[in-house]
Amino acid sequence: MTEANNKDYRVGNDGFWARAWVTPLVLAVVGGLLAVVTAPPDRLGYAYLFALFTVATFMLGALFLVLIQFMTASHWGVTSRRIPEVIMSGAPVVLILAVPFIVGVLSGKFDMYDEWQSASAHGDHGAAHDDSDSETDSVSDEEAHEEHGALQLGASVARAQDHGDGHDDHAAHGAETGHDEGHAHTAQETALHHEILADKTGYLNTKGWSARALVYLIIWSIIALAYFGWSRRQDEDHDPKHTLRMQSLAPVSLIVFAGSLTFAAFDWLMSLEAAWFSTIFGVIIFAGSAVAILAATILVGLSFYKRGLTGDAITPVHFHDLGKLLFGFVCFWTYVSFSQWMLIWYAGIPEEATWYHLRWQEGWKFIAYLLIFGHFVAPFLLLISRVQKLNLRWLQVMCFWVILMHIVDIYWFVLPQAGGFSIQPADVGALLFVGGVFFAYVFWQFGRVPLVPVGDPRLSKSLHHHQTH
Amino acid sequence: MANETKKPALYLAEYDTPNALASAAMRVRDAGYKSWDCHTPYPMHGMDEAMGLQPTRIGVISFIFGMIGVATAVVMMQYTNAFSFDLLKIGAGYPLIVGGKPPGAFPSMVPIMFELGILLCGFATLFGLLGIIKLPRHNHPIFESDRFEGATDDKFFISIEADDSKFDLERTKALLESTNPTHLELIEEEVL
Repeated sequence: MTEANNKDYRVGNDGFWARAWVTPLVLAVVGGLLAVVTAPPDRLGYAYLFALFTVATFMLGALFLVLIQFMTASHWGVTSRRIPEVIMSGAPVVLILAVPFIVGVLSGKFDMYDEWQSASAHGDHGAAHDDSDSETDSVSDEEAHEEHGALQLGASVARAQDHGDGHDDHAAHGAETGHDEGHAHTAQETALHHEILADKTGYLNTKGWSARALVYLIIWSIIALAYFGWSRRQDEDHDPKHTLRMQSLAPVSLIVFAGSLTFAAFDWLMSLEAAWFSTIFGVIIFAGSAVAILAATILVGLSFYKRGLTGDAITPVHFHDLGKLLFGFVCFWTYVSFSQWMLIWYAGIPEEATWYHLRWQEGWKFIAYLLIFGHFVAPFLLLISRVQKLNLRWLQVMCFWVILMHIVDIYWFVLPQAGGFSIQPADVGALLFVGGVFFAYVFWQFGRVPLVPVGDPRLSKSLHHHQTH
Repeated sequence: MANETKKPALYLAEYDTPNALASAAMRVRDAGYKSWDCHTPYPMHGMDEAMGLQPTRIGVISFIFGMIGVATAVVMMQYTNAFSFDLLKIGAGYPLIVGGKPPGAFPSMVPIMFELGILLCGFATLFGLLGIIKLPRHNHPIFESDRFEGATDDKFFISIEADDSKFDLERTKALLESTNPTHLELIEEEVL
């Protein structure tokens, strides 16, 4: 014990973690080149969005894990808290990595939001195709609205069928000059589909979208850097006042975090299918983020533990606790994902079902089943027992597996919008680039800080955290 | 009641400090006793190891009954909703179409599977636990001791039950005495 207390919990000048940042950086360069060289122009935007959002979920999950610990004033997780703290400190890196994404969308280079962008660019788009309907709607008397609702359904059926017919016209749509021709329907159907989008232009327009994107990214950076900064200062001065300040700010930070995460999920992922909506979508993203960060924290912690970098500060008991939370959030992810799907399946309303319809095509259907069994059934059965969670080797393999499944999950959210199922080098390259840059920063940061928050007043309690049940 | 007979029920050793209790518990554990317990005024960290307690089996019981609940839900709903075979000779079965879904559509069964799984799991946990800790019972000989009231105040106790296979009036007493209890008594119970 005393020997461990004398250690400073640092990575040091040699060993794996001293140079750990090199590998992701190399991968980032390779992946970036791969993506830029191989990507067809209409694929790069989707691939980059997938990569950026996947990495952002790790950062957001880390932010959540840190905030919730201050919110609950818990002591069990103090010794392992530095890991999510360092990962969330990569928020500014995500902000920088998001700049090409936002610029790409603004400049029209990334066209995955073309559907609502073009709808908002021509406010009365429907009028070009069907004057009478658009006119009656803008009068907005009740009768016209009812009619509008009924016809809207028809348009969505047609749209769902369009997805079902095969992806040729959807994939080709990027190459088309105009958006309208991408969906080959009657003029009336096209016009009505655009009216759904026209109703949303108050929220879904390029200016508002990009302004909100910047706001989310800046909010995350501010919260993450503030908490990381206070925690780092506490390392030096051991002053409990930092803990008190972080605790008192945790509730409002969590509320802001929850709102920004939800709306970021709406803006970046849900709006890919512009007419589709699901209020629980943000919660699904949140659950996935929590799964990702818990698995990542266990993996990094295990690596420290095996190399003796954290002394006896992080013990199998702490890994067991994190594993229990991981198991819980795997179930929570399943619960919310199934809730969304169940309601849409049961109601069977085309305008809602179209999102799943697209993700239930050949190839994507396999991915959907992979998620059911790989993201739920397998981790549920393989992590449920205490024996399994206390077997650190087993836990490590499971953490790699659920992180892979989380990546597949985000992939399944984004890429079906780009066409039929095929894993292209651009997707992998983009993920390697964004993930590589982010984790190169994170791993470099691990080399600069104590791996345990040495100034935290609850540290000694966490060190003596024993199994009580 | 002159011919009332008594037999030894347990030894009760009393300690003043948690540390004395923990080191005594380790001695008793190492001596190989199985039917014994520690009584403290508050939960003490580390007593699991000090007493050498095995992980509880309640998780296995809960899991098995949870899965039985899930299976019951599937069988029940498939039998009543999906098929027309007549297993119990009570009629021809009722294939139901609800909400335009095919009979026996799996997704609509998931909430029931979840609920029944949770229900049986909860029951199994509660009643399994009561079974393992042998509750409810009306009395225990340990309450014959007046000093035992201290277990809810500021005293720490070890009790070794007479039904332990290693229990021996002399040797068990010697073992407990060697752990320096502040008080040691043999509690007897009436033979009915």
